[in-house]
Amino acid sequence: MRARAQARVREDRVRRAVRGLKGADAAASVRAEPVTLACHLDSVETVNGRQIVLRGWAEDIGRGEVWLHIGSSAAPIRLNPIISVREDVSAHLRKEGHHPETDRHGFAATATLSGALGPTVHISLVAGPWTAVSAALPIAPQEIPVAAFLHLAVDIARRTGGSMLANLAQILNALSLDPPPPPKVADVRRFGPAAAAPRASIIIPFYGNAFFLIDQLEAQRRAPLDVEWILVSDDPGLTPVLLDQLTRRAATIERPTTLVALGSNGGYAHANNIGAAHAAGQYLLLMNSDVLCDDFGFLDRGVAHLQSHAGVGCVGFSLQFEDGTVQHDGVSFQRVPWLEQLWAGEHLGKGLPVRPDAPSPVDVDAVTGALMLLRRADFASGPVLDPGYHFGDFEDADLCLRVAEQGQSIALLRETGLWHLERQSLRLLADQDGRRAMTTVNCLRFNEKWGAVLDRRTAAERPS
Amino acid sequence: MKVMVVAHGHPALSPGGGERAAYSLFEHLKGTEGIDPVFVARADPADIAHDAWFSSFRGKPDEILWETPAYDWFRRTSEKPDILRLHAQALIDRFQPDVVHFHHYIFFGVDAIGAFRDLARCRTVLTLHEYALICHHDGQMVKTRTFRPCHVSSPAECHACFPERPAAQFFARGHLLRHLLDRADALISPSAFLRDRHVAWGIPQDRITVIENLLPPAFERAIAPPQAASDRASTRVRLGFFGTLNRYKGAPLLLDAIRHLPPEISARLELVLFGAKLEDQPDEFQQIVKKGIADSTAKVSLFGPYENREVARLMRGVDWLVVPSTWWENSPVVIQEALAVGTPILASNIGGMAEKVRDGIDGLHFLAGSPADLAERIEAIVSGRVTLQPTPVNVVDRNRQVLDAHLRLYGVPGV
Repeated sequence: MRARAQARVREDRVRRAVRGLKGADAAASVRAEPVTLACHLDSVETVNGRQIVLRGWAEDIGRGEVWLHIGSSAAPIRLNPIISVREDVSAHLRKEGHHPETDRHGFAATATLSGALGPTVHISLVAGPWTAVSAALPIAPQEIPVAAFLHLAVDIARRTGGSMLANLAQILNALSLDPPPPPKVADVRRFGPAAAAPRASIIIPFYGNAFFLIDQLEAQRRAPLDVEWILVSDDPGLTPVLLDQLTRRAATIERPTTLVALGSNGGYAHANNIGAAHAAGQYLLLMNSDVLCDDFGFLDRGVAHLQSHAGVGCVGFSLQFEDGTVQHDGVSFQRVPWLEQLWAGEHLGKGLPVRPDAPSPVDVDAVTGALMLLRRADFASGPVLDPGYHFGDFEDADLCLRVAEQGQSIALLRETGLWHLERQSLRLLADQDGRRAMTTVNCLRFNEKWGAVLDRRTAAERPS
Repeated sequence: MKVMVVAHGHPALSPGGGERAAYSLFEHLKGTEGIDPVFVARADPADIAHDAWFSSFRGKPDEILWETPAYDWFRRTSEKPDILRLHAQALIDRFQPDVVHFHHYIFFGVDAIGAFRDLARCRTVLTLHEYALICHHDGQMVKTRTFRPCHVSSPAECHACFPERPAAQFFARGHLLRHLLDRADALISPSAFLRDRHVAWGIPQDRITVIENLLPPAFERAIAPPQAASDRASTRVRLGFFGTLNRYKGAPLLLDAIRHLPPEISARLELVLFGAKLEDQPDEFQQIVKKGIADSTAKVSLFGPYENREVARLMRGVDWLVVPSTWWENSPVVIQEALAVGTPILASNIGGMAEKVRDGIDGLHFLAGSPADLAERIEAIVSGRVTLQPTPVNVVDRNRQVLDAHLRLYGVPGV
């Protein structure tokens, strides 16, 4: 309570300081007369119109609290900037007659906006009784996609010095990257024969490119008759391409096939959830477009397993890389050193030759969402995947933990002739740094949600 | 029985080995009792010459030119399968084939096999040419950077040749193509080497029958008269190069080898190049060939392309045929022609060349890609240390056997 009250006092002080600088209020109400803060913004970017990314410098910014004032009607925002050494700024300030006490002037900061951005902003620095406020800084913010922001975040985190991951977490924590609302369905098109009480619905989201559509359609020829395909275009720019290819191949589409075109990019979880809402099958097979199969025996075996094992809530399948090595053979939750001992799903045996004598089926902590079989009835009252994660990462682990919390187990069926040509669309979303940033932000959320559960599990499994 | 031979080109418009093999098959089928063939060849709109997808080549009702819809050169499938099916239906309605025999798949796509089969409910046969299913580099199985022969394809190695494409795309490409090939009732490979490469790539060996390409009836007639005495005035040993002048066929290697020869050998040597399409090659390549000819210490003559009906006479006019290709080849028609004429062959020791030319019997092998080794063989020939007079293959008998093998695959009774 006390800390909150102190923060309110400081916030009020910053408000009055800015007003004082504008001459709109009596500076007497400020305990110390505000002085002008030498400050410059190199760039201002926004994400989803709600988050702001600032880069620039301010004299001796490391000496106190930093606040951002975006307009007279919005509350000032406390920043938690990453500060860097800028000797060039020190030289500039001295030339201008200032007397900087340090070389720590550079900063990068992110924040969730508390209101509409005006044409100018102020930066304030509060150190003890002393407050410095910048002149009005004109801005022309550039809106960037989340993926670009994550890339930017990694760039800032790396260039700032110190622990890259700690810096990155600091940036990401300053943002509330809320899940986007579910996108609207813009169009639904049906191809092939009509679906009559299908046994299973195969849900395949598409984002970025349609390269594997031809593979999925060709595979239909080898599929059971009582299966329907729900293709979800999570990319309005891609929808015409998918539609064109489906129309051109309409005469050869041999199974009920529905294209659900979303009005905007809603992300992997929303795409699957909307696909599930359009499904009529008793079973849902979540499948990435880059999963290829020689035949659909795996689906029959998966359905049979769910039918005969009421205690199993989710069935996954072993998958191979293009070179025949293990892409997926179950997931184990572990604290991983490359994410500073956060909990993450560790793919077992990934990249190693397949063990021909491995037993099947087996219980595992989790399975990949790239190919995952579920009972549709189990998700009648809620979404299949949590849309709070970004870009198809951690949603499957999250789902498996939800299933486990309901008292059901996760089964892995070991199969041959199933390949996952992994992360084709993620590759389109961002480069390696961007992907690392996505993993980090998703992992932080996953730990916030499930860390205590996994700790409890580990403690319960530990021999007394 | 109605047989539709579908080829990637008409040899009169695009004189490649595959096109010639397809057309030879058509010609032989025309002369076979009980067979009613039609030849359908992909063509450019300019060759169609009117506003339609099809035309008759030189007004012949059984030779159809076809402007195929757009084709995906990576996937080796049609980019417009709906239009492809419309075209296929039109051809099927008009000719009612019992068998559709595809020669190659470029320009129309491997998925055309399934389209024709579904629509015509007919037997489908595919003759493989090149390695285009296996290799994205012009189907040559040659590395993109070094132009060295590639022995085995894999997604990772293909990605190394084409870094802009992830390995996964190469895997998916192969996976799809192998499944699409299931729609062919029979696969033919003109060489065991080509078959083995496709078996290594994942096609069951028992699905591929090795059947040599046919040589045209006109060639049978051309070599029938007894050989006239040579009227050559020159006493030089004459080497002949027949084929396309491009990077893979090895003409620069041959010119380089001649530069390695001692002056007394090159003074007794003559090279004749019956080479086509030099003008279509990159400037740099054209300059290499032209400079190689200009700088040669031996007599070198560039005759350009030749008419097919002349090939027997031209081949009899050389002492040795040289096939210096730096890629694997499949079953080069020029080798078949030289074997029929009885001209010895100096060939690279790889792939279809090594298979078709028996070292020391039909000719000599040299180390593929090595001008020094080729120079040594040429020196041995010119100095008289090596002499070969292969017995000509009876091309009529051989063609009869090859045709029967085709008819058996078509299901013609009593063959």
